[in-house]
Amino acid sequence: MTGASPPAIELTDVHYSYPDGHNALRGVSLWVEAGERVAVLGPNGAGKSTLCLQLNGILEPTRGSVSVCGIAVGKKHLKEIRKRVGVVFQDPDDMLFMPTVAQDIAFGPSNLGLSEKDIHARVEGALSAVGLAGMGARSPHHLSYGQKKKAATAAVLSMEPEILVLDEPSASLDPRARREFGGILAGLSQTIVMVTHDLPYAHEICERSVVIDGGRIAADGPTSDILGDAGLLAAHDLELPHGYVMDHH
Amino acid sequence: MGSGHHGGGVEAVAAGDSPMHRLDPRAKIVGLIGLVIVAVSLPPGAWTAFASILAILVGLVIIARLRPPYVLRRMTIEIPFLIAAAMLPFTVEDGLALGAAVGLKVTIGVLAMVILSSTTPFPRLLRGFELLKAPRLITVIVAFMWRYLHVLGEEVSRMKRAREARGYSANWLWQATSTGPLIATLFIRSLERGERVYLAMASRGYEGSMPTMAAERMAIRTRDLAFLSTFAIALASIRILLP
Amino acid sequence: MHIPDGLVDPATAVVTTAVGAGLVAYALKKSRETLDDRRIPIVGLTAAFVFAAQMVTFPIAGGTSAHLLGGAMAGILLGPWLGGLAMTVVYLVQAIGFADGGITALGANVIAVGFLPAVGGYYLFRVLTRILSATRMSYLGSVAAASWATTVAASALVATFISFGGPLPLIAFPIMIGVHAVVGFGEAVISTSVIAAILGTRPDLIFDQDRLPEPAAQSSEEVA
Repeated sequence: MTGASPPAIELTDVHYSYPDGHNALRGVSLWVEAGERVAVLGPNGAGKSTLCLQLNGILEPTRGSVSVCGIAVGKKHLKEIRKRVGVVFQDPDDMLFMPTVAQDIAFGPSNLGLSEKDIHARVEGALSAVGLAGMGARSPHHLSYGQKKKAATAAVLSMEPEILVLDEPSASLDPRARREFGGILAGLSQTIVMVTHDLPYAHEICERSVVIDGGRIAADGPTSDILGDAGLLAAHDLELPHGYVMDHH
Repeated sequence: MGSGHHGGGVEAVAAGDSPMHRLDPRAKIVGLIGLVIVAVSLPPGAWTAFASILAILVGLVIIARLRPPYVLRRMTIEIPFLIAAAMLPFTVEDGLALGAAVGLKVTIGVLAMVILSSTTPFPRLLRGFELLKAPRLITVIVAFMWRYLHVLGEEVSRMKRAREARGYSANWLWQATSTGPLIATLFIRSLERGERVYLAMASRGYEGSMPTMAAERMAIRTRDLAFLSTFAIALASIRILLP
Repeated sequence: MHIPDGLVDPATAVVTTAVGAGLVAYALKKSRETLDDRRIPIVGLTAAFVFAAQMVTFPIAGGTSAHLLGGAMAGILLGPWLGGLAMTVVYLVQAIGFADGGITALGANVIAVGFLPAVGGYYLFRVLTRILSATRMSYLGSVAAASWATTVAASALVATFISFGGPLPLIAFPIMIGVHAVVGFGEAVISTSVIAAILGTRPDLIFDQDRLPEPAAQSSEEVA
């Protein structure tokens, strides 16, 4: 990393409490370089999903600051931020809200105000990037769960974001879909922040991992080191599958 | 009342191919709704006109290559009204003519909409309405509704199965209260999903105005104009000449 | 209870279509005022909910069953105009996508089984909860009364539409109302148990927050 360009993501002492008073984040500071792939690990309720929504300004910190590609995340720059940060939600049915897959993928680019020709090109590009070329006219309910997940990702990729944020990318995928989807993610050039419970998936895709618990960062380092630290995993209710052997790459 | 709304296989049939399927949805919407309006406006006794309109619809069924068992199955929805119409001869003066006219109008209305929905996939139908300048807010709400109908429909089936797996069977009205929590769960899930969908939309730059659903370009072609003008001439002559 | 094509007289069809369109335009305006314009997906989801809820049948007696109409329930849960709008979209999709309910009778259906129960049911519920004490019992009793009354009123309006210059004579009137006095009982039982369940779990989702019965208001604070 050259350090000349601003970091992809910079969180400084971010606190967040929900309107009901629940403190989801209590002072998170994080620095992610452009092109890095970072897994965010932690037990349920640790604040992982809240963190995701901070990255594109859906939620704003009650204290502290978030910036993306050198731009402060806030009401003023929402358009710029959402162009740069694509969030893939956990349930693809939440993301595929248009009657056809192609219309869904065109939704983001249309909001960016692109021309019809450019939108079309983006749709085709995004479809082939996730291996769904030719399936644009389908309705989401005619897709398998794995295909829906890919389509939802394409709907974000069509905005050509610099940063991709994924919430539980492998949840509910069968082994084959999980493997295929991992392959697609591994082939992307974007900076990736991936919230997951699936430790082998984190190891496969992300070189760096951050452990969050109780709204704070508990550990940050190379994924292989973190997954190799049995004490750390146990302390934060993280578990590798029985018999999983770490291969260092 | 009572029957579910999912006519089996509509979507598969609508995704098929025929000259009727290939027409622009706008031509089909205008033509078939126009036909229903003409039929509804006919007085009892205009039997030649009714017969001509039915003949047009049967012709469209053949051109669309829709299979009779499928069409008949989808038309069963009109049975209660045919029964009501069949009782008219016994209850009012000139009831026979009246009953026949009502039965024919109901049949024409149902058959026309069965043809429309069986030759046009829903997204194209919606796009057609949009291009016909239907209020945007309505088409957008319809689009969301149609999309999530499938998701919620699956949730209902899952909940029903879970209920039956635990030995649920009800025959009497006072047992109906157990349906309440099921529908309540459905309501809560629907609103929560609505909130998540909104977040997902906002994440992709949504600021309150929906882009048009222009993923697919549509153009009125010669065949659409030919269809519409033939339809208009036929309907006008039926309405003017035959009653 | 969806009127098909041919059962309403052409003149009635023209008038009901115009009135129905006016109601929809007003409901759109009202919904935009009360509901953040960006929250359109919620409206679509609630329409999908009404449609799906209508798929759940409940038994009447022996083997016969009916399904929920849901107009009054939608009005109480979502507010009168948003509820009416959701019902409208349901009937629109049923008419065009499922040939259920006529396209020339859409206006009549939207008025009688859409706006009448949603708006009428909501206001009847408001009046009843104002008169009665603020207990859970009277709250749910108001839901039941509004559901039953609007089901019967809707059937009376449907009967009026189809007998007004139309083919079906007034003989349909007592039959329609008699049948729906029974069906309305089922509607009341279901709507009440739906709203009872929502009071127990997410009272914050109900449109009118100022009318919640006392115990439920307390439990909502506990949940928060």
